[in-house]
Amino acid sequence: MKELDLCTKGVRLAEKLGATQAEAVALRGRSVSLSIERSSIKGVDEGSFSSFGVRVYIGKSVGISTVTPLEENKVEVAIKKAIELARSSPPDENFVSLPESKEFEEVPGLYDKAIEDLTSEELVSNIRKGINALKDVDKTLDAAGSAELFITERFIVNSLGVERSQKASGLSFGIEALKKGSNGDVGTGFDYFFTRTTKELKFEEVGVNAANKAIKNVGGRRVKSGVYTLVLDERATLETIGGIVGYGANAFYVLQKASYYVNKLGTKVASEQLNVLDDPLYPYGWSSTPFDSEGYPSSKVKLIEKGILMNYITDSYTANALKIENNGHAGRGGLADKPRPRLTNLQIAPGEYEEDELFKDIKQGIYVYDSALSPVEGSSNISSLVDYGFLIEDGEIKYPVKNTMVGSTVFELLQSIEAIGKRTKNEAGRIAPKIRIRDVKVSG
Amino acid sequence: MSEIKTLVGSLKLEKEDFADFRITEVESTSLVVRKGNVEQVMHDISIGGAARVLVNGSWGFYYTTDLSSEGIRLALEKAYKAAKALSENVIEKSKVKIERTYEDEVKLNVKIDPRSISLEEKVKVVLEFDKNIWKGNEGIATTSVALSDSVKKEYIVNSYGTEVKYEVCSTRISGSAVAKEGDLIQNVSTSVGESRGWETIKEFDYVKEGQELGKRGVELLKALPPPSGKMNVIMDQSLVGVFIHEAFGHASEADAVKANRSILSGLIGKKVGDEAISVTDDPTIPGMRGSYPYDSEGTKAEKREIVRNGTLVGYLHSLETAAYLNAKPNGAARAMNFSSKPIVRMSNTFIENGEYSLEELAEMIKNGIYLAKSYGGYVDPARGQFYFTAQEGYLVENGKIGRKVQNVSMSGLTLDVLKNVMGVGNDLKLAFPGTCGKDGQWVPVSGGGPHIAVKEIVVGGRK
Repeated sequence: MKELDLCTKGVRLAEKLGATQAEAVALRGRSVSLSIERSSIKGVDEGSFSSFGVRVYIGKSVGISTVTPLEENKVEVAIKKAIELARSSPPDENFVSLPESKEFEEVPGLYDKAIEDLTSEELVSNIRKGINALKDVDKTLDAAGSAELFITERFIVNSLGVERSQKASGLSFGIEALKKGSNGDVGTGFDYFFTRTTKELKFEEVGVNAANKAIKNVGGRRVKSGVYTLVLDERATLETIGGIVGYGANAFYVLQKASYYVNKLGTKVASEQLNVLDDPLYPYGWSSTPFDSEGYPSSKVKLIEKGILMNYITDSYTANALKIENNGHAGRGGLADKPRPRLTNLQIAPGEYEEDELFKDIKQGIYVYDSALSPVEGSSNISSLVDYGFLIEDGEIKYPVKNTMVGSTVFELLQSIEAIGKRTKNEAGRIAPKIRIRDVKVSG
Repeated sequence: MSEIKTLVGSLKLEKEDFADFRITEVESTSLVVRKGNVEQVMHDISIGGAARVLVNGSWGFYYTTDLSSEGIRLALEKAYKAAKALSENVIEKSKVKIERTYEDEVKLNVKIDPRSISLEEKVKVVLEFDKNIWKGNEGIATTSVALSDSVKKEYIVNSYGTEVKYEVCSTRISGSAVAKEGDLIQNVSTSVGESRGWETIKEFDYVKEGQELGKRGVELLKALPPPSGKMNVIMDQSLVGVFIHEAFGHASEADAVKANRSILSGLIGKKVGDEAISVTDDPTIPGMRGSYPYDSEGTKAEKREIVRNGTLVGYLHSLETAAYLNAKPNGAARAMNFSSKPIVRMSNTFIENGEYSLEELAEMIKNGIYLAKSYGGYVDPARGQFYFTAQEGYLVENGKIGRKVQNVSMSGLTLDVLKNVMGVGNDLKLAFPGTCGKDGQWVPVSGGGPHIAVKEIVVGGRK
């Protein structure tokens, strides 16, 4: 394979030029995307790309250099530049070593030829089904959105014997419906799916869901400031807990002492009903990967068990520096970024409560959906807008809320989870139930 | 390059059709220091191009890293064929409006090209900045300092005859500090970002900025928990920058108007705010972070008035939105990189000066909160609901600015909030150099204004 050979040659050249350790990464791929505007298909975007990146260490000093496109003559330029940077850079005292090569298990379903073979015509026909399904609910609705298909191949080689390649494909479709109410009031609602396989296409379902959400969202009202019970839908649960745990249990921020979960392993950080894990090996999972961005085997990690913080997510850099196990969670924003631990398929275990039990007995509450309640920029404070929510009164959903905020802390919020739903939503490996949180400060 | 002009010209286009080809080349360097440790040192060179073709109201776009003649010809052909094949499915036909074409070349206009500065010198600046954050500031748990610079070259040719080549620089230094006591964590940050060269960094007072940053972090550990509820608020210039960007700027982007996703749709000539409010977006201010000479469609950048004395007077336009709304293209279409399409974006957005001092604004609101130092925010322009975050605040009690409070976020509604302005300050400053995200594309922007006082903002604290 040409790219793997180029990466191998790159690593050897870097070593020859003085690198103590080196890692070369190549990416190649293509994408097709179709956009929707004013309920009509608007246009098609396509393209192909290739990039090459190299990370070298001379002792503990790092240099990273990337080039686009990937061409043989540019590989050498990139490596020389990375060496030059590492020579001028002071040592990174936290660095110990790149990861060694270790056996990994394949994850089924990450590449589907049927996705790659989908034609623009087939995509167009499916998107039209989505728009039509939305319009069938209410023809006055306006639709915007897009469908995107990608095929990528990545290649990773390092000085310690890592030599990996992986092909992946995926398809996503998202649609936002907009309903104009009286007095200029506007309601919006969105839905989406993402999948690794053509067996799980949900174009029509997404159109119908977005339509119904938009209709229900018309007529938003402000609420009175006070203390409320919150019920989070599955996406709000996933995004909220993912935001809190994804930062707090990230070994990088722990190493930097920026995390609120420093020295919290083995301690109670949430209600004992809460069990959270991250599973990069989930078959057909959207964020699944047999090995991480450094080529190290991915593994399933228990993050919170019965409310107790069990583990951090790590990569080679943080695992070595903190002297804990590397659980193969290195991710990269782009080739130019140094790998960092990141969540993959977050999974929150179901609880014991039926749907109606979650709402029953709530005198004054907010049902938060399709929104995240997030910490403010890595601080322990939560001060979040409820993007989408409904007022709950005496156990019943009343009307949509607007301009409504939630104030709490990362500890208070998770400790105050008082009920977890029995049923979960599984979105290509990201799994969550609904949860109920008591006594939360709401401003309106 | 005129070969590309020939290739674009060789497409079989009808009268209302359009095509362009854009090449984007970026060279960037960045380094990150955490707790005095040089953690990341990166250099990137990226070059690629994209063909965009409008055929019978349908758009085709094809990006490629193959910039040989054959590669460009193929990209144009693929975009053309894709647009044509799709056109029967496009019910809402797009158009473009070209009022004039441009032929120009704008060279990099900086005093010191950041690419000429050695890595050693760059490392020295970030290490010194980092060191000063710690100096005398007990309670700081960690720090992060980043320095980045890039030079972007964009070349745009279109089927109407535009051929523009320009270079633009981006230089940024930022620092953040985390202060920690028990379970309480407070995060503070500061940054300077401009389109000037290395001179921006040379003029940056890292001793003063570093020490102030650390001090602000530590002070927040002793600050009051943020209040909650609807209240009168004074915003500092950086918060005003994010506030006007989120509350108003995004809804004035005409692609949102065209897509039925702006609450400002149909309101040109209508009162949208207090008489004292005028809002401008101006990419032509020399050296500002959001400045550029031409947009990614090759339209010359120009100053745009959005609100004049409380009345909505204009939107930000691309060639497409100008055609749809029968307006003049005003050079607001920007693409993040070669593989992204140009979409309507802000540049340097600000509220114009009013007449009051900060003290007068405090007397005006009597009781409420003075919020300062923005982190950022977001908006849903269709519903006009926005959110933004302050690093710190001060209670205003009996017209006096007093006790400090911790970081907190706020929300408001676009069509209410400019009408709720109580007073506009006289100390305009483009104090927020940011990076704005939209449809997955991130571009440098800035925002600002004078201090302003607004009533009935919802503050999301916990007390």
